[in-house]
Amino acid sequence: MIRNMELLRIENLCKTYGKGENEVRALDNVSFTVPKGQMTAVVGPSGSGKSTLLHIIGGVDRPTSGKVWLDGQDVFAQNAKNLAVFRRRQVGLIYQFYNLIPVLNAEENITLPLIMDGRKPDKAQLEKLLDMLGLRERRDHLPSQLSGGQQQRVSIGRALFTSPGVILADEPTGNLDSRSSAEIIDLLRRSNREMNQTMLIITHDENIALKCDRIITISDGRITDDKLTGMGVSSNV
Amino acid sequence: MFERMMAKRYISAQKRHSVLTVCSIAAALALMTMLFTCFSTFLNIIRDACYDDKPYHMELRKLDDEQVQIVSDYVGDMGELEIIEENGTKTVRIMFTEYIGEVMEGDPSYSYKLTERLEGDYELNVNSVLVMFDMVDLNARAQMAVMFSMFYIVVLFFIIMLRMVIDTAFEISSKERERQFGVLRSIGAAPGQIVKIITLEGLMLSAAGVPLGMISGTILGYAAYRAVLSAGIADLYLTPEKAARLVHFHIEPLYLLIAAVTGLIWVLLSAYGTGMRVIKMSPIQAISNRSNTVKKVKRFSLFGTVFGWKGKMASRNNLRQLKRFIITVLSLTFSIILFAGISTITDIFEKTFSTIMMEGYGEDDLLYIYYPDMDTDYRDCMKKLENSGYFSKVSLNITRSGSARTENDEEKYCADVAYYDRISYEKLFDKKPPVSYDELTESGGYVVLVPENEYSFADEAEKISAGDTLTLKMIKNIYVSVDEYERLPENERNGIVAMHGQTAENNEPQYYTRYENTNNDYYITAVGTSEKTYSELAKSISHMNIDSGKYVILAGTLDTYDRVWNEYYGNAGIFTLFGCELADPGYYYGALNIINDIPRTELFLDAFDIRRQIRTVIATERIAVAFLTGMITLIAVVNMVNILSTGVLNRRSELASMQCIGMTDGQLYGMTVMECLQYSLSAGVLATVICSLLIYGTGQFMNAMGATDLVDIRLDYIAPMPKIWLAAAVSFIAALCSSIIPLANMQKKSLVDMIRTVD
Repeated sequence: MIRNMELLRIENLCKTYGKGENEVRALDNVSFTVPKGQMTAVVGPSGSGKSTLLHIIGGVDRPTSGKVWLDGQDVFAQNAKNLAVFRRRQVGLIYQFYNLIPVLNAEENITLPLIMDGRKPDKAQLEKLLDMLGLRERRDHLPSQLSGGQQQRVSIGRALFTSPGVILADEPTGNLDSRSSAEIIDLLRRSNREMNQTMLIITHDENIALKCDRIITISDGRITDDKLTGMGVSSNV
Repeated sequence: MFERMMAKRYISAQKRHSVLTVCSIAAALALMTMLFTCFSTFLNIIRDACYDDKPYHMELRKLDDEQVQIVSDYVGDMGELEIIEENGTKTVRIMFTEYIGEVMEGDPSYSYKLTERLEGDYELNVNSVLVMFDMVDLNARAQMAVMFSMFYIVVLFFIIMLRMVIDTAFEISSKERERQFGVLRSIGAAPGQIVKIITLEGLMLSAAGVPLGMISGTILGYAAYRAVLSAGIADLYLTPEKAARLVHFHIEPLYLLIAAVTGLIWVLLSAYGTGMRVIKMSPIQAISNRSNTVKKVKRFSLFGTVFGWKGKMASRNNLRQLKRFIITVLSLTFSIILFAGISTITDIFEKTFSTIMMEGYGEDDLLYIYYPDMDTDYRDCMKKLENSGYFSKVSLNITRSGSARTENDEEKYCADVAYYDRISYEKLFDKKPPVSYDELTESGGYVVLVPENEYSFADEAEKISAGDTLTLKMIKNIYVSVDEYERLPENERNGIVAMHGQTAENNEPQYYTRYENTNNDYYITAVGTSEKTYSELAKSISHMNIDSGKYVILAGTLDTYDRVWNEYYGNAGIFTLFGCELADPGYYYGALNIINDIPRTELFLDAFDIRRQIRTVIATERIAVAFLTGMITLIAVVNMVNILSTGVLNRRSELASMQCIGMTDGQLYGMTVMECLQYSLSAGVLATVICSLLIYGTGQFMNAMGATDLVDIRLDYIAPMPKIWLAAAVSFIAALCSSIIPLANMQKKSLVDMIRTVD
């Protein structure tokens, strides 16, 4: 029952760039829902609107029209400050190029959203997360002292640490070798399973998509396909 | 040509940056032009002053007609001759109008080739300074070249710092285009072509920046010239008449050209340097904006402890460019110290000097000694001074050495019998005399008895009390003129004391005095006594013949004094001192002339000139400090603006990432404010510490120099603090502007674009 509870609802989402002749419709009336705990892959060719969709869901970008509901909350009904707080508490963003803060070490990067929120990190939770990420030995290292895979694990840790409503990953393995990619996907999968963490992953990699519960295909800003994978079917079962 | 096209496109596409770069070039050029213009004005004033004194390059005196002809033939068209006839001989003054080449023969006495042709006696004067300034010969050119090179080295020191202004502009402008340059390189642009684009851009922008800077610099130079004039520096070295005639603002086209060329080279170096920095990055680094890695951070930060996580982030961000942070904080500190600390220290010195002047000379501007003789009266001199109209007040102080004893004839004192007028008298006792001036006058006048230093009669003097009658047994001073003294045989010269006037040249005695004991007694009654202790300062510098210890006031009037003077003293060599306050500072030179016209008068002390010199030195120091402060502040602010604004631009993606993970605008601005605050706070705290140390050091210095024995110097550690923190606050505002403006501009772009660092 809980697994099928709707967490994310996208309604008639449109996003256009430019005006007149230069107008580009990045998202065209996109609607779908994501139940809590589902790991969804968003696939599609370059320029199809995947990243735009992810950024809008994450409250980083604003839609031209349409609505995004996360955990029953209308994301864009909030002012800029509340939107930032929303991103901090409800969204975990993972980028292809990690986007870690270079002056903070691994541990500080992971706890940053919580610290921004004025809360004290739970030490036990942090230790557990560092163990899960395999970063216990690297916690004091700066991003520049970590490998790509390690940096991405820090980025995942940062996204997971606040236990957000949804984790949004924009090609999280796009900048990694195949071994690191596999490790990252396993890590995401594990956190999805163990923490019942809802995830939306943008990827070009079919193998990664197949490891998710559901695959949404976008083309020219529209959803052209939306299907459950074997993983998704089994998890539903 | 691809590079020229790209440079033009970038200039027109990035209008704001182009304007900023033009302004920066203009600012740097303006300061450079100002330095050169001030230098040429300075040289011109010296040259004109030199010409005014000796209006020739060469002067040949005592020539006969044949010699004049030889000179005339030799000079020919190279110069102009002025022939003056005096006492049957001719003087020829030569002003060369052309470069006369290598005429020196290695003889430092300036024996020009011309002199080889002249036979017989003559006098040769070479105005070597004017020859140098007019660069008449090879040696003069070499001297001027050396002088200019020395100036140029000093200028270079300043303009090396000014290069930062231009560098900053190029760095900001190129920072935003790093990705574009990366793209250009990735599609095949050679590194050299990128450098060429940026360098060409610099050249094109210089076309506007250089003339603009030169015009502004000339205006700034004129403002500096006016400031220096208003400080009275010209009057210190020249009379007002000469200053008005010779001191003019001067623009030297050659120097302007040098400034322009130097500025242009600087622009090219900056542009080239920026280009070289851009191409150091690999195209992929530039495209992905990954040139900005941090390898080490300090875990503990005081700033973080005080201001929380925002403070910690700010501290770490600032320390990412540790070297530049330190240079900026140090230059900020230095400029704050110059602004606040040096002015406080100058105030201490100024206060000390004015206290010394006030204690020593009171408000008198000019002190004259008058040596009356048998036929003159000091009253005549006083009348002349009063009637001149140059003085608002003329005070009189007459003293006369003698000995005194009380009625029982037991105690004897060496005494100075003195007359003070009301003003001097009241000043003597800080307006609290033991007996009022009126009482003294009513009681029959007064005489001041001063125990002489070498006899230490202070204790005995204490025994005198009001009502005592004193017998004055006077020593007669016999005035002996220099001629008279020189005619005396050696054995008769004993007991004659040489008197040296203050204005005497070569320490030659101006006259001689012989002291003779007299048998004439004169009785006066003490109407009051007073203990008067003078400070060491007053004793050491005052014109008054005073000693520490007890001061005894006895009775006497001016009439009494006159009688004593006429009947008992003899008339020679009485020390009469006039203290004069100028009615207007403009009367200074007139007053000097008046006093020179009064016979037997000598300027004892020119307090007006001392005060003026002190004021001028302080004003000059303040101008120099203001100039230095301006330069260093400029460097500090430019550095800070550079670091903070480029820091924000460099961290666009990083700051956007923070916002993506939930940092609010307020937190972002808060962190930026902390970064700015760290600069200002660090500089403020450092300046406070250094300034306090400097004030302490000044106190120690004054102590070592003995000034603290003379004046009660209060070291006010608090006085510079408001200035220090005001300067720190201003630097904070400048820092805030340089961070907030690019940040606010950045905020206008979407987070998505920022995180991808899309231009």
